[in-house]
Amino acid sequence: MKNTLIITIALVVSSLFTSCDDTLDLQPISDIGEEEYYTSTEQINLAVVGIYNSLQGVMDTEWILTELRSDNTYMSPQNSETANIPYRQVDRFVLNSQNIYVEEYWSSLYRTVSLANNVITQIEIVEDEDLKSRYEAEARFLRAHAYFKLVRLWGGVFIVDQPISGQEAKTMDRSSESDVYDFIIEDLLFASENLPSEVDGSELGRLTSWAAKAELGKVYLTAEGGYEQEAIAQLSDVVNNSPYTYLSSYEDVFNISNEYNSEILFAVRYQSGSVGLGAPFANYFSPLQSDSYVVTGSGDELNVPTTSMSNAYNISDTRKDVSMADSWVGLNGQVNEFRYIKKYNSDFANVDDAGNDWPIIRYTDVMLLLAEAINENGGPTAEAISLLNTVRQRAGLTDYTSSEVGTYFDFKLALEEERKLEFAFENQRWFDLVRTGRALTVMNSHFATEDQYNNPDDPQFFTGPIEEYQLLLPIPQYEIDLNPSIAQNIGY
Amino acid sequence: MKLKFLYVLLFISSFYGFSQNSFELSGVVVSAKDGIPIIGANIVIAEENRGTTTDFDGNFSLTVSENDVVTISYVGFKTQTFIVSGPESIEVSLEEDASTLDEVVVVAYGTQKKSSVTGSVARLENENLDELPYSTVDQALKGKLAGVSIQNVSSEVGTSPQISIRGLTSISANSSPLVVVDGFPIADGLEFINPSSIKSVEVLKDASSTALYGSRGANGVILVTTKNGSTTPKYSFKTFTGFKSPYKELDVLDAFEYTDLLLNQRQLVEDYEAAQNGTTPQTLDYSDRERAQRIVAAGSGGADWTEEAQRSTPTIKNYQFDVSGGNKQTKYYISTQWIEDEGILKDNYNNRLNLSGRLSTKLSEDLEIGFNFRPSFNRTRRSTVRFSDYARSHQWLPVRHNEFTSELTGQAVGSYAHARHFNNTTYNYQDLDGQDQTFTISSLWGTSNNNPIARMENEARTQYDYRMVADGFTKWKITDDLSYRGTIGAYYRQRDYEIFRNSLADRTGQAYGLNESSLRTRVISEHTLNYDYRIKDHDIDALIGSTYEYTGIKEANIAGNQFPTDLIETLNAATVIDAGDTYTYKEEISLVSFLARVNYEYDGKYLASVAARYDGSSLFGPENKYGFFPSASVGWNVHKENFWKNNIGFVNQFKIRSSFGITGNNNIENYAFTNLLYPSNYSLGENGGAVASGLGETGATLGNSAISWEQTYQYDTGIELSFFDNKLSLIGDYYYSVTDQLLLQQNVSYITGHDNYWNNIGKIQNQGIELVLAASLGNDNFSWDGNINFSTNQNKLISLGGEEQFINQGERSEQYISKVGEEAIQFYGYKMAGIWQNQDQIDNLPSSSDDAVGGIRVEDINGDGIIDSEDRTTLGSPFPDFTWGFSNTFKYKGFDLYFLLQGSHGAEVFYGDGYYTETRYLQRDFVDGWWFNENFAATKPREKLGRDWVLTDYLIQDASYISLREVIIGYSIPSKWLEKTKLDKVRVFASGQNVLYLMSDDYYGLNPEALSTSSEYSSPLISGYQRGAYPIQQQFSVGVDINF
Repeated sequence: MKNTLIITIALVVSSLFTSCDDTLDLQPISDIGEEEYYTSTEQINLAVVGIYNSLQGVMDTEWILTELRSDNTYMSPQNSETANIPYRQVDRFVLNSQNIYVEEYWSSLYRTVSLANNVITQIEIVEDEDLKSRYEAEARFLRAHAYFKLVRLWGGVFIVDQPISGQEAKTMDRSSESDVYDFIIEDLLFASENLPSEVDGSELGRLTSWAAKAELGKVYLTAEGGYEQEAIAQLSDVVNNSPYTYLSSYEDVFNISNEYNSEILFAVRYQSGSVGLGAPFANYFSPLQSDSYVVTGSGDELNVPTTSMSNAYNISDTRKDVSMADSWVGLNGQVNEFRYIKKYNSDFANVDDAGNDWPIIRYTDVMLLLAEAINENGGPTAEAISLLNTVRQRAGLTDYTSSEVGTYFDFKLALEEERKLEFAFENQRWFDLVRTGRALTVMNSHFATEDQYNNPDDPQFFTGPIEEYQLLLPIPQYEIDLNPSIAQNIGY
Repeated sequence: MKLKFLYVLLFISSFYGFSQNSFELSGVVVSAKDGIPIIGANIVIAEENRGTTTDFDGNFSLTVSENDVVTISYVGFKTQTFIVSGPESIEVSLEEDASTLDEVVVVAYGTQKKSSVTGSVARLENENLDELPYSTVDQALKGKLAGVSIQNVSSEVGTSPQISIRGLTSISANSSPLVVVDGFPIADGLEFINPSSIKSVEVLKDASSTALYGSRGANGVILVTTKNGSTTPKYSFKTFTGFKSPYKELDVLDAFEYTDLLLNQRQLVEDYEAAQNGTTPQTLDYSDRERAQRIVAAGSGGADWTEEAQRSTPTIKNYQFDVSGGNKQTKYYISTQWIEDEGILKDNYNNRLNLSGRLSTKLSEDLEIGFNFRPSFNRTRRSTVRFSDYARSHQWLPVRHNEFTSELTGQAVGSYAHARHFNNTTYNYQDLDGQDQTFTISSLWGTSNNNPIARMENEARTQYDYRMVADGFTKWKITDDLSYRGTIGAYYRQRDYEIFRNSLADRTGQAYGLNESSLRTRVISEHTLNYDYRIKDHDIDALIGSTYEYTGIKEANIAGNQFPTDLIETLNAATVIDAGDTYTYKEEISLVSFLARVNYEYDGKYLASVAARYDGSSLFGPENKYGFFPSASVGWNVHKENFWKNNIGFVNQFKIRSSFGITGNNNIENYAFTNLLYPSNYSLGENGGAVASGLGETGATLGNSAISWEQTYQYDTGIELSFFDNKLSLIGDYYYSVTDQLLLQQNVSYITGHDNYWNNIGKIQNQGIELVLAASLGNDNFSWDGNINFSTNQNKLISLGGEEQFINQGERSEQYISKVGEEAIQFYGYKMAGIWQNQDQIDNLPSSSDDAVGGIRVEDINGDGIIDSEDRTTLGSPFPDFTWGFSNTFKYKGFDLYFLLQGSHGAEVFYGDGYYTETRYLQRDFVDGWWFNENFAATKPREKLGRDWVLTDYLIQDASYISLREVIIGYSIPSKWLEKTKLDKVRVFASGQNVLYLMSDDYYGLNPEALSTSSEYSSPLISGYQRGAYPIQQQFSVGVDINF
């Protein structure tokens, strides 16, 4: 009897000792494990959309390292909370390698690179040759787009062209600036040859070959090495042969009900309505303490237009009122004299949930780049002056005569000023100044004259002249702390 | 292999424990004093050297023959002997015997005589845990157990302390110990066990005592044993009410003090410069902004924000009612507890209802089943606003507009006043020459926030926890020597966290609602076979078993906004559901284990134990799921040797023990072995676009398929000594452990597209000493019991997998370094050398572009003449050098007095409140001695000038403290007065917490024990930061305990 019991127990217990591999093999439920993914064309398509999604993360901080650093905007003097120190460091060029936004922007760009690399590595899964080359071209454009920003802000960076592990990352070195440009050009050439020349209405926002050509033109114009001819070829192809054109009204370009219009070759898209795709910029840039008089849910008063920016607009320039305002009206009609950017403002219901797209490449940008390329390639021609004047006419301004802008340098300065106003607060200004070699001159004159940096009541904001090395950002300390053999940019 | 071992064991066992003409003698052994069952009493048939011990409930059964002489003994009680007369069930009451000492301790999967234990186990009997004004048991354990660190990271009621045993053995996500309640692992068990139902708490500290918990034992194990039923019905009612107050308050400048300070300092400068120039100094006046602040303060009365935020007399009320009873077969114990606990801040409270039921019954002499049932309800209203936000609010600003400010700002009388309302306001005054003046000022205070009382009163954050633990067991005594125990149980926790913010709360003027709901279920099934055999002087106790554990987690989030009214706070009223923040999420984890242990004892003198556990976990990749965790230990009861007994009689107990073993840790986030993709949509299409589905890898964790167990190799040696018939005793332990293959969520270069990955990397070493010195003196009328515990722990990083160091950042970019050869966490940054008094110094001393006059001057650590990131250095550690507790109990007739002194020394804390500009110019600690002019020597920096404070050690402060943590004074009414009533016992008591609390002068904050533990600070490599901590609370309470 007793032995029988014991055997029974032994059997019961032994049943617990059976193989338990199945019990332990638990796979993710609410995410997808990588091993189970990348098996179909549709999945690759979703992964491509995922790269586009990462552009929003890039835009989150891009204005800090481009627009705020330029003479277009500054950190509000009133907004002196400790939390705003990192913005102010960027604005005044006293930042160090531990600046949080330098780190965040850097990481957001490499995130785009990494998502693009996943698609490029897995592209063979797509059997349809057209789709395959299109998806790869989109991924490579977006990768090049990220690298173009990286190389202009940090110089020679790490070229990562496939998924890498943490250990592999530690063995990587920075490449030279020209290697990075070669890498970008290669990707963009592939993209311009393999992207479709137009997309369905339902896919509006995805890239076309024209966007790739425009981007390539800009890269050629920026890279060292005399690529002006190539730039002209790409840009004039877009200006003359593409279905894109400029709108007759500047205001319409940014109208929330007219998004992705025929002037927009490429924009980062946002969508209002609490779907997780809203833009925060309306709240970022609107005045602090403005309750809901300017935008729903008040503002943070970041990226404030400078006095010189406000004064740069001619009285008849229609672009100013679209891009910025000098004051806002509050309770009981009280007028508050305070400048703010309004280009990205619209009606929306929830904080940080505006629907305004952020334009990346506009047709007028391509026109003015073409004019610039022509000028760089031997001075202004009639075509170049006409391109510039076309943009001015739309803004309600009078034409430049050839005596006003007939020389290389006059034309260059006229272009510089026009681009400042045309692309105000679109994160173009800093790159323009660096590309044209004018950054030090313009910025140092800005620091010497702009009231905020010279206010005797606020000596803490006095800002001295900057040096050549400060045109580049420091490599984030985070990276150097992980791998001390990485060379920091000189000066930091 | 394992299976064969089992069969062999079962086979051998079947030969024993069976003899002719015998019958089962069963019974229960209880204490004569209170009828409580005695666990582990020895029942021995002396002639045969054979016997058994009583189980958890005092029950035993033994095969005997008629006329056998049975001896029943238990340490601390007088031995009883009787002659077996026939098969019957008996109840034996043992009388207490004050002259002996030995007790039974609860160990992994069983009990053991204290004298036989070879591992390091600390035990705390529940004497008065339920008389202290705490809402959870874990807080009551603080300072009472050597080697157990319990830190109350917040004085907010309803928050759980951070518990760690023997230092930082792991640098993974979690180094809190495993909690096991009555044999059933419950991760958050200490949060809802009714203190009055607790019988004892045991802490298993070394590898040999935790080995049977294998992969879960590396951080130590806390075993909670609750009370069981008795044979006669007993009722106990206990209640107390307590009152609290903040121990310390911040000294903050009000509007008049602040503006006077600025004016006086300008005047000093003016006088100085005039004297230098030989001119007559001008009398200076307030600036427009200062004057406006003074006018508003005078006209509105302003607000003392911390005063406004606090309750005048927060209380804690606790009610407990316990019933126990039963008969020889069936026993029950039911316990209920209701707590209402108010925090110091007006919006903070915590209510708990804890229920606990235990029922066990014997179906036959051999078979017993039981059922434990513990439902609990907990509601915590969390504070909406951090304490620092009250302390840093300008005091000229009133809570609400009165007629004066209404006139000034155009806002309605009685509506909340916010700083922005005072923008562009106009004031009239007479200047120093008596002229009428008018000015308009753009802003009095550039904050965008609503005033903190408006935020407190209009935003509710409430957390509801519904917990249920139910477990059943079967005990089957297969033979005298062999028994089986099976447990199956389930843990269930539903947590709802609700936020409702109405339109008045936030500066955006938008109402917002969130419901965060998480459901956690865990099923555990455990089966053990226990074989207990003694022959002559040999005593063998063996155990094998298997366990299976499954955890399912489901989270559901709903967020909404656009509420048409503030009156409905639930999300049905939200007209927009925020899709980005609305989701459900599921994950699951499983653990399968096999375990075995053999204890061997010879003549009570020589002790040995080996134990092992084999674990498989779903958290690791396919190749790395299994781990094996063995241990061994030995002990020697020297005092039982004749040579000792004969020569050194005054030392009546002397034990030496040693153990070595390996334990594991699998505390990592789920699915870390693979890259995860999640939805990353985008907007595409005409007319503003439509949501297009996308997927992308998370930017967070980079998958690592090689991830596997972390292992801790631990060595422990201890001595246990008792002198003069146990009047004095000493337990000392030294331990040394090395954790290898550390599970670390490691930063990874952003160029991978991720920011972290899990890795098995490096080694950390911990060593420490624990001493417990106890004394017990006195007689029936007067007695004193004292207990001092002292613990040190030193951790050291031995390796980081080839790296020299890791640098981590907190929420303000303040840095923490983990450096090989040093403590696992140290603060990191620039060392403050003084302040920049004038520009000359900056020009002539090492500096950088960050520096400015009036700012912090830092040391040029590498001496290269410039200040750059190479000059960062270690700036102290958040770990204490040592901690101690000293408890005393005095008894005089019916009176008793208990108090606990407790201290911690050498830890440092980052005072994060000092990050705020307003704190820097309103908190007096920062203002006294600050820089205001190059000609006036200063010792402290000015709030906005120069180098970022958080990157220096200016805010790193000494967190040492000594507290008179607990006092209880009680009086029990003599039993002869109660004879005519039905009452057994009536006791009244008064208790206090933090009666005295000494903190360092160097510390500016309100609570040196406070720590941030969420978001960045949940990383084990970032610790020692506090922000917005609530004050240390002092409590006094009175209560009564009635038993009948």
